[in-house]
Amino acid sequence: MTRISEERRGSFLGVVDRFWRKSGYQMTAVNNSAEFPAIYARTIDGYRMSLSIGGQGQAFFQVDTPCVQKSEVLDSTTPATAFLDPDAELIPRPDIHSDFWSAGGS
Amino acid sequence: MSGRSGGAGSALTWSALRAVKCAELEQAADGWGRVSNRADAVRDRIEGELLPGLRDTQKGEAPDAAVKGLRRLGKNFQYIYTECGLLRTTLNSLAHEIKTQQRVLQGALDDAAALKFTVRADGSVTYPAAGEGLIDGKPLAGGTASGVPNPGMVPPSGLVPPNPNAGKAQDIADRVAQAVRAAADADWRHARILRSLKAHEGLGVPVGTWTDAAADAAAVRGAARGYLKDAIPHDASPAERKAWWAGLTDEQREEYLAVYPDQIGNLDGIPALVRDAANRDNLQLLMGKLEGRDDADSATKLAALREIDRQLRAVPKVGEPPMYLLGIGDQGNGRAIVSYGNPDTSRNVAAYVPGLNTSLDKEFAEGDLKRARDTAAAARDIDQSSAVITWLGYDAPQSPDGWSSLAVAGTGRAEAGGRAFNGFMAGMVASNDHADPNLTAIGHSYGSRTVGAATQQGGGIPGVTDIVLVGSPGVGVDRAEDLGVGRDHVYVGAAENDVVTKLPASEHAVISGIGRALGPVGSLVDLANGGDADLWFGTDPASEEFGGRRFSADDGPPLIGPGRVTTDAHSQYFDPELDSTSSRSIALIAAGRGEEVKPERPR
Repeated sequence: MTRISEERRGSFLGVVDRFWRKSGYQMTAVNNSAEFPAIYARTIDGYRMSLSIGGQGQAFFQVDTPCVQKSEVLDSTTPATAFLDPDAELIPRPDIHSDFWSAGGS
Repeated sequence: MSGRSGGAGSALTWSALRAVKCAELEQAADGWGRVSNRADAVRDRIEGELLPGLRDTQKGEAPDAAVKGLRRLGKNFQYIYTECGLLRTTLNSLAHEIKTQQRVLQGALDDAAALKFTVRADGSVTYPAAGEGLIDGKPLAGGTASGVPNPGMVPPSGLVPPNPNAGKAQDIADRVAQAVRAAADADWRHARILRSLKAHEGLGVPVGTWTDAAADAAAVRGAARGYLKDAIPHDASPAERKAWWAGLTDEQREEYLAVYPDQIGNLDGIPALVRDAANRDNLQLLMGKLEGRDDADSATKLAALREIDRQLRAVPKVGEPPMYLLGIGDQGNGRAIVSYGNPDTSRNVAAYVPGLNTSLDKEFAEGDLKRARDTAAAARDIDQSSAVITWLGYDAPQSPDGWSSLAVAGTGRAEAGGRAFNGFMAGMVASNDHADPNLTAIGHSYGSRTVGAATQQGGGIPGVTDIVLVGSPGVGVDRAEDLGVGRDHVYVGAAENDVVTKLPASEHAVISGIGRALGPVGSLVDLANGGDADLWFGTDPASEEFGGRRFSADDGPPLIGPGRVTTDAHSQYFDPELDSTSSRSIALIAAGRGEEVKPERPR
């Protein structure tokens, strides 16, 4: 996964923020933390989504549906794009350098 | 040696007692210990390697059947581990008691030899002539004294034999008789236990077998009391207990784990991995015990234990925090302490104290444990060295049986819970590998009152630097700084529609009158509404006046929504799906990064 430097996190969230607003989603909360920024939004039909930055610039997208009946959900059949040791306790931190997204302060 | 019912010891002679080779008993115990360890290792291999390997690589009916078979095999080995461990301790306990009596016997025999008395085969003692006759001055004739097992039970004859040897001989004979009797008694008790350590025939380990195993463990505990239990340092500090455990030999540790999983598993200061291993065994024994009962309380707790057992057996997927069972018990409303992530190796450890109406039931095993699991997963997204615990180590008040019972409970439950919580956190400080771990206490609902009580006892909550209060009806102090961690380290989540957090405010009129008719939800409304607010509510932690750091929380559904009344707004602070902002704020604090939480205006 691509490392997103602290300097680029704002622009990364900004890009997504603009797209969500353009799509008509309502922004519900924003955390402006430099290290762990996050944005939260909601659609008119009740879907909720967030984009947050965790440790070492790891990005997490999350989408939740409105109320549905509790039911069995199958595991995703899409394999991880990077190698994942099946015995690993933790998902590896981002380790790919991008000249743009991983760039430090200028 | 032979056990005879009644334990009168008539079949046992002192020479037979002296000849018992206790070392052989101990060797036999070691043999059972080795079998027990092997079974434990095999179980680990089945559950840790074979099952996950099969699940990850194979799909279909055949592997499903194989998984089922392997699960049963794992349970069989767990049973072998438990029963062989009990056999080992029973034999060691027998050897311990026999050795004690051999020492008593040897002391008596040594005394007899020094006095040149003869101890005869039946335990009577012959003594030579001695002293002076009152009439002729000649030494008084020798004689024979027979021992009585319980001196003092035999009324004195009133005729004191004048031969000075007679009294000494009587004493020796009494000691020999007592040693033989006590040894025969120990033999009888242990023989009875050994005979009961039997499994049903066949490969299945049915419910009844686990019920038996629970009874077996109780019987062995009873017999081994003198041998093992007195040494468990219940009164020591957690750091001393940690040192005690570190100082035991492997054999001693194995015996404690086999016989007292309930004591070791719930002892604060013992390493998390040890507690987890002990409690997993204890869980099986508790389920066995409760399966043998048919009352509603046992059934409720059993459902919770089964759900916890199910979660423990599931193999975590990559990215899911592993589960550690740090405490389990059926006393009171039930006890369960579960950590997601290893609390000894993690730099950040948070413990969540649940509140009102929490008890060891299925709802707890699903919902309250999920709160810690979700928080741990989110905290590890921020700092991988994080663990989050659900701590049900006290009897939280139960309100479905009426507001009045809660009023009676008052702050008593919080005070008692606070003491237990402080003991637990002292254990976390002692067993954590880091010199300066970040410890966080999270209180929800009445659990925040319990956390509040804990901060006011002794030096406050051991090691805790940050406190989170969510859905709080007040914590017993009026200012955040009174919690002892600095007002900047007190974080408060209060949803707009959570009635419990609105107690000191003036919106009661809106909700008054709809309480009582609504069952459990209604009683919560009642609670929000009624009673003596001074009892335990105090200042609203979300208020400006209180002075903590409020973080934002989703409003939650209103109390009176379309066609229904709901208090769901009180229960979604930890839920990453229903309230991602609040749950993520709690995770940031649990990961030791509370300063990054987005602040919300206080009320």
